[in-house]
Amino acid sequence: MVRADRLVLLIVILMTGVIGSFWFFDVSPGQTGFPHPEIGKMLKGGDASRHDGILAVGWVLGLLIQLLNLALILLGAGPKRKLGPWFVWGSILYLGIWTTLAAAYGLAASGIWENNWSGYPLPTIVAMFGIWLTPLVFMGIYYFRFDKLVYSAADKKKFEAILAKRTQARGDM
Amino acid sequence: MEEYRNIITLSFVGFYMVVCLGIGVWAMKRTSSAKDFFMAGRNVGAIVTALAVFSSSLSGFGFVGGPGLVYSMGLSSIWMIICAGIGYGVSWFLNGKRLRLFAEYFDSISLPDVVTKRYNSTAAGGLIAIAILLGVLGYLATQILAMSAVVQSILQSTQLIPEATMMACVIFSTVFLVIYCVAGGVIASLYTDLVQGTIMVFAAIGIFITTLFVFDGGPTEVVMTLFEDDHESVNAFGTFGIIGCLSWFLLFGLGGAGQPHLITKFMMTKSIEDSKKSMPLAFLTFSIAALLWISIGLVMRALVISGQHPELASADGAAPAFLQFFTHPILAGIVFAALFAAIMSTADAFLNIGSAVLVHDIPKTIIGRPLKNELQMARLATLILASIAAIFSLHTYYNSKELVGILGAFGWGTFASALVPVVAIGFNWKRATSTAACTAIIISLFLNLVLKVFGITIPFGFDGSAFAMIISTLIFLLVSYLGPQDQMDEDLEALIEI
Repeated sequence: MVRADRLVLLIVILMTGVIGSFWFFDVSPGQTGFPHPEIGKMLKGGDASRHDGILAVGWVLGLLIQLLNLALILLGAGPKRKLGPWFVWGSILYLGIWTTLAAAYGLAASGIWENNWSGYPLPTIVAMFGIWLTPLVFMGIYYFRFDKLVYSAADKKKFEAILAKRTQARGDM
Repeated sequence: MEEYRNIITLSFVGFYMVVCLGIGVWAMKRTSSAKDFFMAGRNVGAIVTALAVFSSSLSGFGFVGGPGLVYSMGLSSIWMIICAGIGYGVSWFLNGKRLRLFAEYFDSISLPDVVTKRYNSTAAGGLIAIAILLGVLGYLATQILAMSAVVQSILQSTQLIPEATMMACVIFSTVFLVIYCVAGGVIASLYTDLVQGTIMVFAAIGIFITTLFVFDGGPTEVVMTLFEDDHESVNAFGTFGIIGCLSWFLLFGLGGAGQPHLITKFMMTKSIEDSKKSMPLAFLTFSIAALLWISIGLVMRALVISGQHPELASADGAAPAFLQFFTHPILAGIVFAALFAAIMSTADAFLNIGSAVLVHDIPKTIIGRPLKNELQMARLATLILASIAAIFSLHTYYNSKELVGILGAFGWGTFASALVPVVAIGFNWKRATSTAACTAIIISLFLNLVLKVFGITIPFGFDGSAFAMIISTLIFLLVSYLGPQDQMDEDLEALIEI
């Protein structure tokens, strides 16, 4: 089984590589928005095709960011605890939602599939409800399995023993 | 009722201030030691912890800067909000239990104190103390400046003191802030956070409902107006683009696990089990309050584009304009009180951790022990810190507008890039070494300072502080792996295994 710390290191190395690659891309004008022609202090994004060269790299970066977060949850849980199927399925769902968002954005940008729900583009709906709320699965794991995964009765005993040992050591001094 | 709008606003803000002072006096009676002053006697319940974490994380920026960003850039800045789900999850998994265990075992009253003991390194603790102090000064100055701007605007609009100068408002704001923080320390701060967080939630709900009815066609008409003007503004990445938005997601999500004003709250809880209950409540309240950020920004952008409201002189004017022209006077009064609350809850948290650094951590690094009579010295340090920040904010206002902006931005970035590897990762990983911790802190200070001062940018709008966080984490991991392993006390090893 891969250790969480090594996974974190691998992901951070890959992220550094992806960020480093930005200097080798041509940055098209208006890539990060341009001034609104009629209204001051307001920006426009223009066409989604501005992401043509960078969307795939953005998807990889987003995937690495989500993976880093998941690996850090594993690190926080500790090497001896299995977060279980909820964590596995939650992670798959979370990464799938990010991929759906990037794919829906890319398809709309290339004019293949433009889908609006109540006026909102599909990627926005996915971001608001998917990216924002899917981590409730991980919060649920923390909340409902706290006594087993985060701080069990055995952990409590162990901690109390460590505290008692320290108190005794101080008393001896 | 419209003619009484300004008086109503003034009354709400005045009432809120009286409540804060009352809490300060009540907290003073419960503060009898430095441990009470800095750690609330480690006796804080889950609800107070949750609301304190949420209200400290959403400063005045969430009420003014956030809607301004949506007005200016469309939905780009939602990535600073939607990262909260995973960010809170990661922060609680990494810090929730661990910091509370360490705080009790080491009997620590500050974050640098725990860092010193975890790494058995005065240098690591001292460096963290310096990083925190620098960030705190910048943050505090921005919060005092924001608070003073609100005071000035209220005094001028109500014609109570129309000639109120900025200097007078800064002095008033600082004195008010200092009174309840000096009196009640972190207990006052936490319980005012409870009131402040509650006000912020109710204000956000009220504003969100109001925004639904500004346009006859409701939110759909708002979005259609924006969509016709610029597709990208209401698309997932707004006008800023995918890379910039992802860097914000990283910095504000994972970076939250390294913010001292948030994570020190974990050290204050009554029991370790409290972190279980505080997580969902903190996330829920943050998410509700964040609705204000998104809804005001979108509606004001649509109003200006459709010609129903004149162009704004500055993007940060979006929230004040909405409150002035589209909100019921009573709700506007509540929101102004909430804005005050948001600014003050962040400022008092910084005053507390800053004074701990001055009285406890820096003396321990230099002379090997904290100052004598720590409680009185902590009160004095709070006063000194607030005064320096006030002078700093005045200097900024009258001379160099960029200085506080640089230090404010430097604060979040430095905390994220120094504390995420050293605290969030290093406290859960036995292999982490003191050399790696010191190196990561120095790198994070250096990178954040150089990037901000020299205005160095990364292509595609990738945030410099997010870049610094990744680089310092990489260096921290590599130095820990490649360097000699530290000798670790067996109790500490057992603590990390829990």
